[in-house]
Formats: sequence, C-alpha cells, structure tokens
Amino acid sequence: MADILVLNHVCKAFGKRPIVKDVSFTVREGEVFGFLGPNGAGKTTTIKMILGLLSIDSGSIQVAGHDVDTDFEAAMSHISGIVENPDMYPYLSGYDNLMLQARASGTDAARVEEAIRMVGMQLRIRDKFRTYSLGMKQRLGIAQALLHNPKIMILDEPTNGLDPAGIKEMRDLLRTLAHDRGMSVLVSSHILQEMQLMCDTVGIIGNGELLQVSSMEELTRSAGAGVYRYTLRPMEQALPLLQARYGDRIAEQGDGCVDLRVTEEEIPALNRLLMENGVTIYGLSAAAQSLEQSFMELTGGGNIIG
Amino acid sequence: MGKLIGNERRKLYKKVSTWVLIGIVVVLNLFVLVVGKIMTDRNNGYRTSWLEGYINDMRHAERVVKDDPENLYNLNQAAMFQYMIDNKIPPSDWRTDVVSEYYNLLTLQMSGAELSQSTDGFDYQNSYNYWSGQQSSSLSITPKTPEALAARIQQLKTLLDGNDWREYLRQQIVYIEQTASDVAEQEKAVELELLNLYLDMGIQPVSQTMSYYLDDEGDERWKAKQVNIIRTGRLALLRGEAENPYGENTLMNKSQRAAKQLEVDAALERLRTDSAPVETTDFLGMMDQSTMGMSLLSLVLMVTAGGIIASEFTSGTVKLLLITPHRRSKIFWAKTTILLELTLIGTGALFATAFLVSGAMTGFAGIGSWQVLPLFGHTLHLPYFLYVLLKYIILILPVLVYGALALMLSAVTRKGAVAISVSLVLMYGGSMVMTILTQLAMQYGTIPGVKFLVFANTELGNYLPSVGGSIAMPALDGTMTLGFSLAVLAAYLFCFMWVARDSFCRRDIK
Repeated sequence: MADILVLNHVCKAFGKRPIVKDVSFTVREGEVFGFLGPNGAGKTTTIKMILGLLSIDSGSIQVAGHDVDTDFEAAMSHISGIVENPDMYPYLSGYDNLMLQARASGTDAARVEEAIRMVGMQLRIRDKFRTYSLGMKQRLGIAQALLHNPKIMILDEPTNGLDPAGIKEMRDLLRTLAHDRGMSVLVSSHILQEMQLMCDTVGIIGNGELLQVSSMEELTRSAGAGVYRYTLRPMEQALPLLQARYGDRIAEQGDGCVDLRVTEEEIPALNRLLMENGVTIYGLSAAAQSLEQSFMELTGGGNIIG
Repeated sequence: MGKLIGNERRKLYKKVSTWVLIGIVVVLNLFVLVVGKIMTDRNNGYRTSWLEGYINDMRHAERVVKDDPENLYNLNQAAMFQYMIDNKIPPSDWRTDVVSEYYNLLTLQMSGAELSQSTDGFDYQNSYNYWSGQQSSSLSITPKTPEALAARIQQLKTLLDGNDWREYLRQQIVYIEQTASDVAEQEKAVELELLNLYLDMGIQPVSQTMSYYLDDEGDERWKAKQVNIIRTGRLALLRGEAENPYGENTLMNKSQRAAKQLEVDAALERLRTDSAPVETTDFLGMMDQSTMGMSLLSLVLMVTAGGIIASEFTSGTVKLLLITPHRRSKIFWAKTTILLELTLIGTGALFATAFLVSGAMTGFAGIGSWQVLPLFGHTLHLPYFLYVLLKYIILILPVLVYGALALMLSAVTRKGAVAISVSLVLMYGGSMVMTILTQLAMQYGTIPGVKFLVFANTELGNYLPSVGGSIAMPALDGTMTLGFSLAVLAAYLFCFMWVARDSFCRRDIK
C-alpha cells in the first residue's frame, strides 16, 4: 500500500515554546490513523501543518508525494479536512457553503449532491448554516471534506458534539470510506474508546512528542497483557507474601483483590506459593486494565497541559 | 482564479449588509442633491426682486423728502430709483454705477458745498465687487472745480442717454491714460489691457455697486467675472504675491506662479470659446455636486475591506478557505478584485442615480455645457459632462486608498471591528490633523515633507473645481498638483496592498 501522508521530523515552535518536537509518521492508503493525545499535546498544530495553515519550522510533510511547503496546490488537491470546528459561512445555506467549496476545489454540483446524500443532510441542506446543530455542522463538514474525492481526509476531533448514534454513524462512514474506497483518514481525538473501534493504527502524542505508533490490536494486546486479578483470602496473609516476592509486580491493590503483572508461565508457581502459605485463591482473571490506563501512563497522566 | 473571484462575489453579495450600506450612501447622496436644489430654488424665490426693491427704496426716499423737503440726498435718491425703474436698469447693469455717480454729483452740485482739493481727480480704490464675486478696483472721479463738476455731470448724462457701454469703457481708458497717479505704470498697463479686452470681446462690464436684491437678468455676467479673474491674476503675477486670506500675503514661488498663469489662461480660454460656467441648479451643476458622494463610498469600502479578511478569521472559515488547492496569494487577489468591483458598482450606482434624479429635476437643461480648467499643466476645454465623468473616475483612487488601508488593517489585526474602527479614526483624525497643519502652513509657511502624507493628498476635489468655484491654490503646500497627489496616492495604495498581501500570505493561522 502506498504512503499517502508522510511526516518527516516535523518541528514547530510558537515563539520560543516548542509545540511539536520531531514528529515522524506515515499514513498508508486506505488506513484509518488515530492521532491520539491529551489536550494541548500538539495534535491540532500538527494537523494545521499538514494542511498548510501553519508553516513548518523544520522537517517536511508530503501528501500523495507532493511537498506541502513547496508544492502546495498539488498537495492540497489530494487532501481535505476539518480543523477544530466545522466552521462555515453562517449567513449562507448548507448547500451554498458546499458549492463555494466545490468551486474552489474544482468539482461540480453532482458531486455536491452525492456528498450530501452520503452524510444524510438532504432535508436541511437549504437552511442557513447558523440554524444547524453541532451534529449537523459536523456532518456538513464531512460532506465538504468529501467533495473533491481526496486521497486523505483529516478530521480534528470529529465526534465532538455527536450523540452516541451519531458517533456510530460517523465510525461506519469512515470505515466504509477507508476500506471500500481506499481513502485514508487521519482522526485526532483525546478520547481513547472512540478510537478503539474506528482506527487501524494509532499514533500517540504527548507534550509535542510522538510517543508510540502501533496497530490498534497491538496496542490493545500490550496494554492488557500480563496483568491478572487475584481475589485472595485472607489478604493480611497474602500481601506480605506477595510484597516479599513480587513487590515490583503489584499493579494495583483493591479491596480483597490485587492486580499482578506476571507472565502466563509464572502463574502456576505463584499459585503454588500462595496455596502452600495458606492463602486461598477465590478468583483469577486477566485484568480488564483498559487502554485508557496505558494511554495515561504513556502520555504522562492525562490532561495536564504542559 | 475565476472561480475564486466568483466565490468571493457570492460571499460578499449574499451579505445583506453590503447592499444596505450602498443603498444608504446612494439615498444620502440623492437627499443632499435634491434638498440642495430645492433650497437654492426656494432661496432665490424668497429674495426680493430688484424692481420691487427699488420701488420700496424710492418710496422710502420720497417719504423722507415729504417730511424734510430740504433733504437733497433723499430727493436725488428718489429720482435715481425712479430713473432705474423707468429705464429698467437691474443692479448688475454697468449703468447703475453711472446713475449713482450722476445723482451723487448732482447732490453735491445742488448743495453748493466746498469741493475737495486734495485729490487729483482720479481715485483708484480696491473694493469687493459683488457682481463678479471678486476683489476689484474701481475708478472714481472727483472733480475739483464747479466747472469740472458740471462737465462731469454733463458727461454722465450723455453716457446714460447714449446707453453705450463701449463709450463708458473708452472714457475710463482715457482717464487712466491721462491721469497721473500713484499707480505703477505696469499695473496701469494691465488695467488698460483689460479694458481693451472688454471692448475687443464685446463684453459688457458689470456694476461695482452692491445689491441684495435678486437680479437674474444679464446672462452674460459670467464674462465680466472671467475678466476680473484675469485682472486679479495678472496683478498678482505682477506683484509676485499670493493672496492669503488668513494673514500677510506671501511671495509666490515658481509653481504658484505657474498655477496662477494657468488660471489666467483658463479664464481667457473660457472667454474665447464662449463657455459659460455651469450653475449649481443646472443639470450638470447637480451632477458635479453628486461627486461628493464618493467620499461616502469610502466608508462602504472601508467597512467591507475591513471585514473581508478579518471576518474569515472570526467565523473560523479561514481554515476552509485556505485548505483549498490554491495559493494564498490567489485568494488574496480574488478578494481584492471583488473590492474593486464593489467600488465600481458603488460609483456606477452614485452616478446613475444622480444622473436620473438631476435629469428629472432639471429636464437635462444645459447638458451640452463646456468646462475649461487648468489641469496637468494645460488648459483643458472639454464637455462638462465628460468633466463630471472624469471627476468620478479620478475620485475612485482615494476610495481605493482608504479601502486598502482597511484591508491592510484587516489582514494584520485579523479583527474586523479593530480594522474598521482604526481605519475610520485614521480617516477622520487624518483630515483633522490636515486642517490644523494647513492653518499652520498658512501662518508660518509650508512645513517640509508634509505633502507626502497620505491624508494631505486624499482631497482630490481641491484640484477639480466644482460649480461656481475656481481652482484654489493648495493651501498646505503650493507645490502640490493633481498629478503629484495621484502619484502619492498610488504609492500609498501599493504599500498598503503589499503589507496586506504579505500579512495574509505568510502568517500562520493559529
């Protein structure tokens, strides 16, 4: 599969404050790439650089083989996107707004009709943009991004303002676009659960640095791997035992149960040790440690903007 | 590029506020035009006609005489008004001076008073000439002996009976030639030349006597006014002094001399081509006045240009606009093109509505009039309608400069309210500062470099005379010409656009 979007050691600073530090990644054809990070991590800045809204301090970005900096018009003809909010001209109808964008990107009215159908906006398309709800604005934004049949679509927090049904619809639409039509999608979000079902690949950004790029399956597996939840009695007896032998493995300690990071091979030995010392194992399960937790760990614990 | 311009056009023209603004400007301009016309017509209607006025004056004098038969002055006043009424001599007629001198001398003769010996019989004094609207000098002859007095009275009587203005002028020529006075020979030569000009061109002189009564007779009065312009111009050139209504007359510099010479040439050309000036209430006079609406158009353009970039930032649509596959400079020029188009539409709307309304109110009377004016170092003689058209076209440039100023602020600040309010403050503040600087320049002389300021050059109407007015010397700096101001405005336009383009095309969209 061809590389549609390539970022090469991209850096950006506002004044003296570095916002994006040496970010490199690749989005391939037909891939839904999740761009994940807490607020203020540099997601929107990166996206704006990809779309040519911000200049690049160093490094380079290619869209379908065209450099955004030196070959702007060619690069932009293969990309579309929504940045921050799906803002359009409030005093024009949805249709007029789409027509403006269609003319600017060189497509025709037939394509506009098709895009409207794809996002299911037929009924309200002649209303003024300012009368739309946020969800409708998001849909119109997607329709706008579909107009000139781009090779890659960039969506900055596209699920903002959507209800659960809307989110599901959006997810299905994006997956269809990517897997059936071969369109690549880059979706940014700070909410992990949304990405879990939507994305093929996830890049995690924290504090301006790209921390990890991996496939969604890999991420899920590695995050959950090796943590087991033991329900033990009596706990008073079990804890000193575990602390003495497996002190560095205790992931979390709850009421009557404890999460331990151990490999499968270690489990029989651990069980034997507990039983020999009079501790009864009431339950043993693979801990449902969520992606969220590993995400938090990776990005340094949440929404502290640094 | 065509599609981008089309998009900008749709965005701007679908905004109701665009049309509301243009509509307000057009209506305001028409309002001023119509009310001005009605007021001028009504004002003339309220003024007492000269005939009525003279009858009242005569009755008043008669009443005084009735109470006081010894009052020689009023006796002769009554006779004077009677004479003017009987012979239908309006206040602007040259005979008014003769009649009034005749009866004054008669009063003098009848009173038998001592005659003044101090003057040498020829008095040359400056006064304001009401009928030509110019500073002017007049002859007054003061006889020294009773014989001379009687001779003068007889001479005036013959003049009146003959009703020959040529003879009147010839007599003045003789007086100037023969009388020794403190008037310099060169100035005397100018006076003689102009008296001969009256004779050569067959121009009837106008009276020097002031009157408040309405006198709409004498269609040829404008010619005497042109002669007066030539006279003052010639004398100013001779003396080398520029008139300064605010203080001491100053010495004319080279360009002021050239401008004065052009003014004289234009008046001569006007006489030669028999081009009567247009009146305020004529069709073309109204059209000429409608050019003032162009300064209102500046406001429309400033508001639009102030918003055209900034509003994309406030509504967030700038991101949508800039991720289309077009370089930013293309989008910038598309916006600029639309602003230019709007200016042309506004100008066209002002011109067309003024044309229709003025035409409807005047029946297009005098549409074939001519204009004579000094411009670009030449004396131009062109149809007045063409002149109005030219004026509209020239006045587009300051509108564009104000628009570019707002556009620049719009691109730099990215806030429409800031761009619009700052450019408005600059416009009004700038013209206020210019007024102060002009007054300073008049009192203390030209301030060097001030003529290169943009606001010193935006009032192009100063170079293009309106109805009834003549070209005034640029008070701020006498060396300024229309060509200079156009060049300065073009330079500022270029700079403003360059900054606007650079700011729009290069800066980050945070």
